[in-house]
Amino acid sequence: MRRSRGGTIVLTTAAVFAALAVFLPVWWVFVSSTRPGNSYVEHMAPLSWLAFVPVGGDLTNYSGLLSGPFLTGLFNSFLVAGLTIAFGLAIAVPAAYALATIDFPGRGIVFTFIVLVAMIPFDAIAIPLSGLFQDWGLSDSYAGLVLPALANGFAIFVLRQFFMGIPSELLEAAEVDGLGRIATLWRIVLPLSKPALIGAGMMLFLSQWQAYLWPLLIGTSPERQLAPIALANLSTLFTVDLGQIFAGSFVLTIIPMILLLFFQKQYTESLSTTGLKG
Amino acid sequence: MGQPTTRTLSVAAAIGAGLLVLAGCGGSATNSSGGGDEEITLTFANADPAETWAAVIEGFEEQHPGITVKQLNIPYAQYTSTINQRMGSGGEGIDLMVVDAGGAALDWNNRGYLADITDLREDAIAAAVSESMVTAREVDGKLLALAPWTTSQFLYYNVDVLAAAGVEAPPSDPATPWTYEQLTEAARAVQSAGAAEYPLLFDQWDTYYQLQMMGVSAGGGDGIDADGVVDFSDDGWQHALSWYHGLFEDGLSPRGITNDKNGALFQEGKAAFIISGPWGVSVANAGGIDYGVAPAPYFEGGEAATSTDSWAVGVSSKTENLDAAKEFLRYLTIDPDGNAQAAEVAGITPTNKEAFAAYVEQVNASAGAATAGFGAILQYQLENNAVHRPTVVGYSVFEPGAGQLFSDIRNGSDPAERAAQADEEITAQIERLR
Amino acid sequence: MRPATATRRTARSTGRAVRRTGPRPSGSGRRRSRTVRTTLVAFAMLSPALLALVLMRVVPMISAVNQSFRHVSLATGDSEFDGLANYTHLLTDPGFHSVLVVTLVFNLVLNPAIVVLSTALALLTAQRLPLVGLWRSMIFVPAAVPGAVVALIWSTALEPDGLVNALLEFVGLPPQPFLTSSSQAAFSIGIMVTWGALGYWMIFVIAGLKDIPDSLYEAAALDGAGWWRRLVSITLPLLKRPMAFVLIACTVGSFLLFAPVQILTKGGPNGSTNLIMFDIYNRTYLLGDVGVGQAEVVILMLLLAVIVAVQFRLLREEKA
Repeated sequence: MRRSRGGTIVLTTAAVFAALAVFLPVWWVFVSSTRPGNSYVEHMAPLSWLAFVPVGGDLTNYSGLLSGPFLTGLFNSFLVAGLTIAFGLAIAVPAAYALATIDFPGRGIVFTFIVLVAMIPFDAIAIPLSGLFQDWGLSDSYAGLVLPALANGFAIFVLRQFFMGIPSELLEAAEVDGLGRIATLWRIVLPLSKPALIGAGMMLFLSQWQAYLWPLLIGTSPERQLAPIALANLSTLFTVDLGQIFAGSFVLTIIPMILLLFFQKQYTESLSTTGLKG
Repeated sequence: MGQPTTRTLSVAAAIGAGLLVLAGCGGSATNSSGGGDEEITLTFANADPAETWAAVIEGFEEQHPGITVKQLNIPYAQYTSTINQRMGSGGEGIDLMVVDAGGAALDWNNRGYLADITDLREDAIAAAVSESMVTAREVDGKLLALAPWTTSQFLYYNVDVLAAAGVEAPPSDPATPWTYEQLTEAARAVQSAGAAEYPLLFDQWDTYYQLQMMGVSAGGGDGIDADGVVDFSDDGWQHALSWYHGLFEDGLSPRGITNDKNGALFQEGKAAFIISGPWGVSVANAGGIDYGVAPAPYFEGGEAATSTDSWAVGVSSKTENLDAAKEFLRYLTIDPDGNAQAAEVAGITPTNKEAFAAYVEQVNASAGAATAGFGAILQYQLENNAVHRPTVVGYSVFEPGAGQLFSDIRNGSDPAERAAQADEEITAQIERLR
Repeated sequence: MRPATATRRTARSTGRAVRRTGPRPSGSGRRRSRTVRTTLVAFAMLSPALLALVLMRVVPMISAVNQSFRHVSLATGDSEFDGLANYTHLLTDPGFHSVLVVTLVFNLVLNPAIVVLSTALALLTAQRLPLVGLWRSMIFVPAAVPGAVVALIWSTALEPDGLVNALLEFVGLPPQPFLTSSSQAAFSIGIMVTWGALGYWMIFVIAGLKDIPDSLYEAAALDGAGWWRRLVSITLPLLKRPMAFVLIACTVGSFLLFAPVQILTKGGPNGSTNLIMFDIYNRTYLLGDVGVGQAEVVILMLLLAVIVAVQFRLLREEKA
């Protein structure tokens, strides 16, 4: 595992280059968000270096943004995404664990069913589903916003793949110790599965963080509006203020990045260094 | 094994219970629980952000303490199919809905979704800027919707860019607009002088709303007849489409620019001309450029034609609160104050005479000489040469098909070949769905 | 203890030891009651998930399947049973054939590219490098950009005088038409999708990488195995499970892709970006041809099921 100094330099250069190349468009969004109104186009046609350097910009777009409904939207998005992660994992983890570790008749069929259902395009069924939500009295409620995202077959799929990698002697040892299945899952398996849990949690989080069609279809009132809709509402029918849209987009984009940075430590701990010591 | 089993079951039950609790938070909003007989809640389905209609709803509720108006904001792209689905399965929970220009009123009348509001007709015509604004929403002698908003098209120009190119500005007299040929020549002068990045922009590339007036002006008609037969191959439309095609071939207008940016580009002085609606004034004002407003052009030898209309509002045939719904509709359109509030947030032209006069006065004064002639042009065009979108069965199929045709022509497809293909495909699709 | 675990895990990933983790019954009487009981436990653990999937996906899907056998008249709104007419219409429609070709070619190129690139990025950013957490997060960022903004960014960048052409000119290449040309539009959309997807899938590959015990590499290093040898004989075989997930989830994601098409090209120029989900959207929502649109959803589901089944089979066979 030792690497030469030269190797580290080459690899670091490659990582930095990849990161900058991928990040450049997002950086452009940030720089454009410091230009009031639509004045970012000043540097676009023809393209000038000022499109990438925030010289002469200001933060008026951000102050305008944070005094409007966007702030309520951010709060709601956090709430809805948080509930979705909590309930989504509470549903997906036991299901994935059962699929990965219990040998029961029909397991193959159940797994196939889950993968098949995960393929159903949500956009194609959203309108009939919104009709059902109307009948169930779930329109315009937090429950109505959260529930459809809980049916995430891929979250179950990804967790199952990782649970299958946990050494069976570990589970057997736990059973010998008299731990029940739930206790084994809670005390042994989950601490080993942080990267997979973060992956599945991220799937659930992003599905809500970018929600657009669904909240509109179930008729969400302004006090329960989510951030992407507050963002879309910034451009009214006949006027466009792209500066504010850039600012809102940058806020929406940077928050998941900060969260990922925050979870970095858990995420990079590997199974071999945490679980199997001693 | 027994103990773990029960434990597992109880955990599963706990999760289930959690879900039920979560679901329980729901109900409250949708079921307005009876109350007094006077309490009426109207649900108004539209395809705009809630803010757009908030001012007029507030004004209405103040005047009518017993009535509450709730909005159902549906994304524009899913609006028609959502209404079809809701109304098709009983129409519960929708009392009023916006109706797009074109065939929507006809389609929904055939399906029995819209209440007959002919009793409002006389008052509506008396209050409206032009009679055709009202009659455009009639089917078989029945009035089905009333428009609180209207639109028209204008030629906006950047004074400094034209001066730099040595081009004389177009006249603001609505009776003598430029021809498209004159416009092309001026755009060419701007191009060769290098006075602006983009000589000519359209507010909405490739949309039927934007291009209909060109086909009509060139003598091609609407491009579709009452039987749903599509014809973009006649001389008139071919003339208009070849002109459109040429703009991009010659680099007078750009390919690859999406509609959200056109206003911003003109606002920041990157374009010499833009053909846009009345909202173009507030867009241009926000940018601090020196600009002017002229009537929309027409084709040499053809007639003047300007696109018009926007959303109208209809009453659901399934509503249990017909009178209250009509009252709201009356407030939106026939009541001058209500109509002004309805148009205020969107910054669009109101249809009521009094509201219109106040709107025009305010726009005329908004940018000194640049906008002084705006109201006269708007009124003249609405009264004399506004073209309404055709009310034919199959319009909903026709409009997106026409959009694809225009888009391909913009990207370089041959107008004659591509139009022939569109004629055949769209006609066949309409026939299939009949 | 470490080396033992390591061997065990290697064995597992090549065999199917997992299947045997369930209780091994011995006596036949006990066996039945244990089987019943474990099955009960399994379904208890699965029931919230299955309930959610059925209510939130399957029930509305049934309405879609039902619609696919019906014809709705544009003129009257009347809906009548129409047998397989919507399916025969689709399958004989040359427009649909070109949709299928465009979709399949698009996915055939795009998905392997995304899997390979995101694995490469995962291998790179799983190394211990200075500030690697920051670089990893920066690569992840596009996954969180709102869809409408992705389109705004790329429609601006791919404009005739936009960023990408400026870069091309900088290195001495001629400007390209990108989204306005039928030969480049699908490719341009592919670039945009790859940009948004790389960091997302990278996260799952890294999670898999973190699962591989260091001891394996240490053992290999003792044997004198080089970087390439370690990659081929340890890393990639042990990544098979997470990569199977990424390939399948990514394939499904790409088949269901439509927002960028809707915002940027509306299927054009000349149908060159008319991917199947956009065609479904177009037929159902724009043309109002609900029956055919839903029939197309059903065909899409069948197609995806076949493709995913093949992917499962391939990955399993290679393992054995």
